[in-house]
Amino acid sequence: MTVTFGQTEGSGGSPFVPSEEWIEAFEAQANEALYERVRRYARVRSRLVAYGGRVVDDLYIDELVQDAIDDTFAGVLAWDPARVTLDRHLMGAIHSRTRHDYVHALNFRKERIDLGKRSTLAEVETALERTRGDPEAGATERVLAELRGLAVKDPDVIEMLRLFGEQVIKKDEIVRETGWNTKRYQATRKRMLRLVERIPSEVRASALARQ
Amino acid sequence: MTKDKNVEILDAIHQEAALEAAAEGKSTPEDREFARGVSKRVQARLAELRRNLVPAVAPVAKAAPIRPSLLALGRDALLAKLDELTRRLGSSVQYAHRNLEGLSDDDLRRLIDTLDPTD
Repeated sequence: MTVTFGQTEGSGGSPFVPSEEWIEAFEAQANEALYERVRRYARVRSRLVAYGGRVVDDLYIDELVQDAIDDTFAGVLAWDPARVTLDRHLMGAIHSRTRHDYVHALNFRKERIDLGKRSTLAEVETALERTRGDPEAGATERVLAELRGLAVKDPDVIEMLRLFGEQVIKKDEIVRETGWNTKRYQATRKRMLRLVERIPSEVRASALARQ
Repeated sequence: MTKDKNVEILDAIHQEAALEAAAEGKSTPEDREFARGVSKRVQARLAELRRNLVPAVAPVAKAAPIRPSLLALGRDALLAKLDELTRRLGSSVQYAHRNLEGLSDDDLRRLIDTLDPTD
């Protein structure tokens, strides 16, 4: 899912002025049920950011949704009603933002080593190397290790996770890569999501707490 | 497996889980309360955008002063003059008022002035 940053209407630099058709399309799709859907989406995406090491709460979730809407009205996030539905557009914006916040949080955590206790360059380098080499250093690794353990007897789920790692993510791509039919893809996806829910809460909690 | 790949995997898992939550999940009371608030704000914003589409109100043109020659005429004289003008100018004269009783004396004066500013 990608989101275009920029203005669809008006000329460069001028304030975004949506057309009557744009306003009508927004009005026709925007309702409380849509905002609830988008907030449910944002809540799950925010967990990813938490695994990166950032503290997330309800305010952050609300901010994700509200910013996506505000940026759309401002023309910062271009929405073309003819190309994509409003909820998919907003989810795309939240996807991009949470992905960015997750990676940013991960990178920040790597740099957050307490260098103050290390007096020599050699000690600093050792500390950095230990962090890089430790497979258990991050929540991401701990949660995935748990997930792979749960999926060990399910080769299709393991294959789906491998493909995700190769950035083969969309249904069409996975089906093409594996030769699965749609039914097998859907079933594998459902089982994978159930396994995610089965990751013990203490593993998730400890993963987050050890950031 | 490299850390970069793990990042991709966790991102993709959360994308699938988030789409599932959006499509099939149940809203919490907080979701509903948030949605109500957003809905109100969005409605106000859409109304503002719609207002911005309407051109600004055109400035009101100030009427020119009525000629003293017309000011001197009473209602009967004005009606007679209008009748005479209509006959003289023939089919080139068209005005929207069928019932002249609804027009004030000054309305009649301005109508006459519009039909024949040189008179």
